[in-house]
Amino acid sequence: MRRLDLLTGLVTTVVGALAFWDANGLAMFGDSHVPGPGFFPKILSGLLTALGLTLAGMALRERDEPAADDEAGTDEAGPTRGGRVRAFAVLVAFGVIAPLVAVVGYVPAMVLLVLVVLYGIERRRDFRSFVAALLIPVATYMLFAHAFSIPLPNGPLLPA
Amino acid sequence: MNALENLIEGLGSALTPQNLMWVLIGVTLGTVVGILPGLGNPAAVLAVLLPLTLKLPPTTGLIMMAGLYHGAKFAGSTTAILLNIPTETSSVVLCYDGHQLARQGRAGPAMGMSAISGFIASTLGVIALTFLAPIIAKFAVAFGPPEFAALMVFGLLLVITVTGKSPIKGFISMTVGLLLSTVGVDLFSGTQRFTFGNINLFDGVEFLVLTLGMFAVAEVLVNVEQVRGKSLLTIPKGIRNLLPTMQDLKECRGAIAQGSITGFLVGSVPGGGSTIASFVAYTLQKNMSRRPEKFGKGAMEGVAAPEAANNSEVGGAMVPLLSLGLPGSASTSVMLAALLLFGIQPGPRLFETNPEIVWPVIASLYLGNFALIVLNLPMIPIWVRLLKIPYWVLYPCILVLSVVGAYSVRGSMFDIYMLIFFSALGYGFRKLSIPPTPLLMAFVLGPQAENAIRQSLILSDNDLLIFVERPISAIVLGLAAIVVVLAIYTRRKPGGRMPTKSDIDPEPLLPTEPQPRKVNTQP
Amino acid sequence: MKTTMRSLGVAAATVALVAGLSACNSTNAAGTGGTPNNVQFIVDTGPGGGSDLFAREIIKIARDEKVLTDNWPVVAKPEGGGLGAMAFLKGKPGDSNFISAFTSKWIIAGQATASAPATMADLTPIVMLADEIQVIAAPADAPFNTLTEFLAAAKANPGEMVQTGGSPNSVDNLVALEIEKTSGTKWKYLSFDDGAPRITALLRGDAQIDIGALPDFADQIEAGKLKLIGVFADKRIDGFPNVPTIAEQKVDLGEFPDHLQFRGIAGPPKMAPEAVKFYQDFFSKVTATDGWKQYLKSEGLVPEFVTGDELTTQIREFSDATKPLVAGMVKNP
Repeated sequence: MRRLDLLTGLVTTVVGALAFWDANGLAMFGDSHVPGPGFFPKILSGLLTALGLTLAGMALRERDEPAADDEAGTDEAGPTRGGRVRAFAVLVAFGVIAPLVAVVGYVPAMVLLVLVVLYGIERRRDFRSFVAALLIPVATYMLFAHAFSIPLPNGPLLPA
Repeated sequence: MNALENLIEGLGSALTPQNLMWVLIGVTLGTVVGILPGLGNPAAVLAVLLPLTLKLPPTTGLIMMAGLYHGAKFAGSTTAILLNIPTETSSVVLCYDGHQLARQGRAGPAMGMSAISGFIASTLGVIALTFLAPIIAKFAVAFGPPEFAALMVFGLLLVITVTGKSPIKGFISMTVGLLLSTVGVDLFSGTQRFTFGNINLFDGVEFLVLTLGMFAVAEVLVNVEQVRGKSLLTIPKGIRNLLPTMQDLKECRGAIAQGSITGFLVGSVPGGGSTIASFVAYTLQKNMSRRPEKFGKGAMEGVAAPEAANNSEVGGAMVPLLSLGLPGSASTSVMLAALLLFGIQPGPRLFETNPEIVWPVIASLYLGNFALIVLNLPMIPIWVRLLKIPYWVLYPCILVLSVVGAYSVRGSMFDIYMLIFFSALGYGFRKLSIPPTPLLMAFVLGPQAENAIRQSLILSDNDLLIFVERPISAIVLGLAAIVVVLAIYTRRKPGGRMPTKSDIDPEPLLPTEPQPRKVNTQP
Repeated sequence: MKTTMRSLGVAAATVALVAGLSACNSTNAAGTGGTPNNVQFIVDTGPGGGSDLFAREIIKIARDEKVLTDNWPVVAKPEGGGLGAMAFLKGKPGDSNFISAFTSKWIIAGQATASAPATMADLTPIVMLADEIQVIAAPADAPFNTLTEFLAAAKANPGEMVQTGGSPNSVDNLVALEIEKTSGTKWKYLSFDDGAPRITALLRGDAQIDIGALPDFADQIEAGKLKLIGVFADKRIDGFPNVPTIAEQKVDLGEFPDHLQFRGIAGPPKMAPEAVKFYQDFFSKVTATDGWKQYLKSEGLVPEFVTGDELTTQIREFSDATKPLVAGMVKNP
C-alpha cells in the first residue's frame, strides 16, 4: 500500500502540474480584479499538486509499518490474482469494443462485447451465454431506437 | 383561504377514475423507463415519453406526466440504492448511505424509507404551498448570488465531511472533481478552459457519462474481481426485512421534517433545485444527528433526509411559479416545457385566469406521489429480487446499458470515449483507495459554486464583505461555520489526529455471505 | 474435434445472425441532390430548448395543415451552442435530407472560436422565418424610463450599473458593448446561465436592465413589477404604445442592425437549387397558415420571409457587425 500511495501521490502531482500549465493562458483576474476564468482552475490545480506531494511525502515517511500492508482489515484478501486479471480483461474489452460502435454499428459491437465477456472472460461457453449475447443488445436497441426514438449508430456494413 | 378551496377543488377534479388510471400507468412507465441509465433523470424520461401524454386531453395528460415524473424520480433512487449508480444529480447523495444499507441486506427498507419520507415530504410541501406561498415568494426573490454562494459552501462542506477515513485522498478526489467541473466554456468570459479545442468539451463533461463510467462500469470491474457466479447482493428472507420498521420510522422523524423544510425552501429559490436541496439536507442531518459517525455506513436518516428534500423541493419550486411565473428548478421547468407543448402558457396570470387547469396539476403532482407509494412499496420486494439475477447476466447488461446511456445523452461517440476514460479512472481510483464519491459531488456543485462566487464579486466590485452584509447569506455562512466547528470537534474526540494508513479503507467490496465481512474491523 | 466443430458452428451462426440483426439498424436512406425524401431537422438544443420547440412547432403546424404527410424527426446537436450543428451539416455537403433551425447565435459562435469546425458561411441559407424583437426591461421602480435616461445615469456612475444576461458572447452583451462605445459609457454585465435568476436579479435590484425577448418579461410586466424602457425594432410594438424604439431615442447602434435575434432555416453546403426551392415552397405554405401566425404572435416573434440575396446580405451585415466586437472580447485559440 505504501508504494501504491507513493505512486498515487506522484501521479496526482503530475496531473496537477499539467492542469496548471494548461490553464496558463487563462486570465487570473478580469475587469476590476474580479476572479477571471483562470482563477479557480489555477488555484485548484495548484492545490492538487500540493495534495499529490503531500500524499507522496506521507507514503515515504511510513516505512515503519510494513506489517500493516497486508492486514486482514482491507480488501487485499478479497480479489484474487485471477480476479484482477478478469477485471482488467473486461476493461480492455470494453475499451476496445465500445468505440467499434462507430465502425460497425451498435448491435454488432455490443453483441461482440457480450460474447467476449461471457465466452472469453467468464468462460461460460454454453448456449445461455449465446442467447444473452444476442438478446441484450437487440433488446436495448429495440428499446432505445424504436420505442424511444433515440437514434443509435449504424455501421457501414448496412445497406444505405 | 382561496388557495385551499382551489386545492380541494383541484383534487376533486383530478380524482376521476380515468385520471387515476392514467396516473398509475404513468408511475409505472416512469419507474421502468427511469431505471435505465441515460433516461434516469426525469427530464429525459419526460422528453421521451411526452408524445404519449400528448395524445390525452390536457388535464389527464398532465396528470399522467406527474405520474411519469414521480416514477422516474423513484427509479433514480432505486438505482442509487441498489446499484450505487446515481442516474440523476439529486440521487447522488442517496448512493452514500442508501447503497451501504443495501449491502447490509437492508435494500428494501432503504427504498421503502425513500418512498415514505418522499411522500410525507411532498404532503408537507403541498400544505406549505397552499398556505405559505406569498411569504416564501418574498424570501425566494431575495436569494441572490451571495446567498447562493453561501449555500454552495454548505454543500461543499458535505463533500469535506464525507471524505471518510483518508482525508487527503478524499481531498484529492474532490479537487479533481472541481477541476473537471471547470472544463468547458467559461460563463463570464466566453473563454475555453481545458477543452483542447475539442468541440465536444465546450459544454463541459457530461454528468451522466462521468457517473456511468466511474460508478456503473467501475463498480462492475471491481465486482468482477471477486464474484464468480454469485448474485450481487444478499436478499434477506421475510417480509419484515423488506420494508422499514417502525423503529426506523421513529428514528427518522426529525430527518424527514428537516429534509422537508430544507427541500421546500431551497426549491423555492429560482436556480435552486433538488440536487443542492438533497446535499444541504444531508449535511444538516449529519451534523444535527447524535450519531454522525453512522452516516456513510448505512444510516437511515441519510436516506430519509435527502429524499424528503428531493420531494418537497417540487412543491417549493411551484412557489415562484405561482408568484412570479418562473420555474423554481429543473423539475418545474420541465413541466413548464410540457405545459407549453400542451398549449398552456404558464405564469401568474394563469393562476388567476385558469385555475381549473393549474390546481388539478398541483393536485396531480401530489396524486402522482401517492400513486407511487401505492404502487411501488409493494413492488419493492420485486425490485430487490432483481438483484438475485446471477451477476454474469447482470453485468453485461450494465455494460451495454452504460454504452447506450452515454451515447444517447447527446448522440455523440465522443461521450463513449469519455465513458471508457472514466471507467478506467473509476477503477483506478478504487484500486488506489481514492473514494470516488467526493469527485462526483464536487463535480456537481462546482459550477454553481464558482458561478455564484464570481457573480457576487462582480456585483460587489470584488468586495468580499458582500457575503456577510446581506442577511440571508450571513445566516447561511454562519450555519456553515457551525457545521465546520462541530465536525472538527467530533473528529478530535476519538483517536485524535489524522488517521494512519491502516485506517485507509476503500469502499467495502462485495460481501458474499450475509454476515458482515471482516472488512469493517475498525469501529 | 466435436467441440471445435461446435464452436465453429456457433461462430458461423453468430455471424449470420449478427449480419441479419444489423439490418435492424436500418438508417435513413441518404438523400442526394434532388428532392429530399427522408428529412431530418437539426437543432442546437436538447428537447424542450428554444430551437427544439421552434422546429417541433413547424412540424406540428405543417402536419395539422396537411402540408406535411410524414414525420420529420428533430435531431439535437447541442455541442458548442450551434457549432456542433453547423459542423454536422458541413459534413454532409449536398445532402438535401438535412435542414436546420439557426439563430443569430450561430453566426457569433463561428466567430468566437478561431478553430471553429464550421461557421455560418459554410451553410446554405434557405429562408429567414422570424425576427425576435428584443426589448429592454428594468425594475418598475427604476428612476429612469427610457434607455436614454439610463445612459445618462450610467454616464454619471461609470462602471456601477448592472445589466444582467447570459454568456458575454450573446447578442444582448454585444449590442450593449456597441452602445457603450458610441455613447461613452460603461456598465457591468452580470452573467447567469439560466433565465429565471436574471429576472429575480432585476426584481431584487441587483441589476438595472436586461435585454431579451418580450415573452421573457411579459408576466412580470403585467404584474407591474417590471417595465420596458426601449425596443429594438422599426416601430413601436403592440401593447406598448408608450415605449419608444431605440431609433426614436436616437441611441447610436454603430454598425449594428436593430434586428438582433432571428430564426431561419439553413441547409448543408452545396445544396442543390431544386432542394432549396423545395424547402422554400414548404415553408411558404407553412407560414401562410393561421396557426403559424398565431404561434409567432404568442412567442413575440415577427414573421418574415426572406430568401435569396436579401437573406445572404442580412446574414452578412449581422456578421460584419458582430465580428469586431467578438474579436475584441473573447480570446480563444
